[in-house]
Amino acid sequence: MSNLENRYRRLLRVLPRWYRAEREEEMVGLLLADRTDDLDLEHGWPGWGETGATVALAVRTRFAASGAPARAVAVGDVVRLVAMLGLVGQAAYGVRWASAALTGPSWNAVGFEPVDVVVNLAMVAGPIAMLAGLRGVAKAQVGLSAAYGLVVAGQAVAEASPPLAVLWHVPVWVTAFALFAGYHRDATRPDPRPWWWALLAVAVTTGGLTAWSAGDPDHVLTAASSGLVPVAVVIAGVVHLGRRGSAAGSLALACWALALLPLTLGELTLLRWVADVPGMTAFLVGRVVCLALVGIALLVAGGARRPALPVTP
Amino acid sequence: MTEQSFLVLTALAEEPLHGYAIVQAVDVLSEGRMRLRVGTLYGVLDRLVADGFAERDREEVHQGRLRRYYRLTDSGVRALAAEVARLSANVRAASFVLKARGAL
Repeated sequence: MSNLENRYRRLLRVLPRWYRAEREEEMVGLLLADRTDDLDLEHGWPGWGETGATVALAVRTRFAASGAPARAVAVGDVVRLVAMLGLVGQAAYGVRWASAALTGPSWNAVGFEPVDVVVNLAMVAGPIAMLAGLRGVAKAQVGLSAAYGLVVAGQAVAEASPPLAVLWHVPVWVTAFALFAGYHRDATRPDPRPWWWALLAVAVTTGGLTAWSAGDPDHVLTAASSGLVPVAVVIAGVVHLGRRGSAAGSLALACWALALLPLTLGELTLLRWVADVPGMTAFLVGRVVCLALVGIALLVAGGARRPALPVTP
Repeated sequence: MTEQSFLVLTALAEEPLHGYAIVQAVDVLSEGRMRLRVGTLYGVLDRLVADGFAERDREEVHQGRLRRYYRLTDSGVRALAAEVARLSANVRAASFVLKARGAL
């Protein structure tokens, strides 16, 4: 076996085992068909183009939309649900900012720098674009937000800021990963109707509650800066468990419950300066405990009903 | 239908082909514009098989390497014919406009 073949077989390990069992020999034969130069066989490698194409194929097969074993499609369904839930949650943060900026006093309307306006409005525009079928626009928005978050988090780390400054960006990174991995070329557009309703509910609830509490800097909802999104995940999780919803839904909500856990734990540090706010301690601690419990329950419920791995030789 | 899928279906329209022959046929059909990577080709083939436009034909071993042949299904022929009709209509419309401008 030549070094080139070895290198290509190593590259093919990014593909799922069931796919390699089916295709590996065929793919190796095809790659080597017109690479017969001895020097190339000894020192060559598949190349950047082939590496990119193989990684893209790995994404499409690991997070499959159809034409794959049930487990691969189930994983893909979970990732796509994580992406959609992340987009709705992201819109909640954008609406919260807009509502606070429009209705709050000067202490709360800090985000009027042009970059803040753009970032927060884009957090609402991205999900709308996704539901309108403009997947590329949604991906561009989420990708840029994730990159912006990396820059801001990098600065926070360099300045030895508290972990909360980094944890704040975890939701957008999770959403970006899920959107790019789940909504590949083979994935169809999600049914937009339930998601439009979810977006509307989020906008009304978050915008209304933020406007209601914005005049009071000591209010529990304004002091807990991640606001209602973790609470919404807990409520959705409890409802989903009660209705014995789909395994994909359980695992997607579990993913969000556990992804938001570090952030809500980080916000417990807020107790240092808002400990005297009535109900704040109970709200923050209760939110962490509920997220952890519901997250674990969803994980167990979803894990128990996930499709079995395909049998490979 | 993507251009890649269109060209792969066109390549398979004549006779069943294995992966390497499909890559070469697409290269010729596209006059060198499109060189399919291995990962790209199998992504396209997976989609065509999942959509019922292509299916596996036979397997051969050539110089110790596995070669799997693919062929067009009846559904694939109909899909290709529909795409040809759609593209032809577009070409006719564009040609008409360009002729009116004297550009053709």
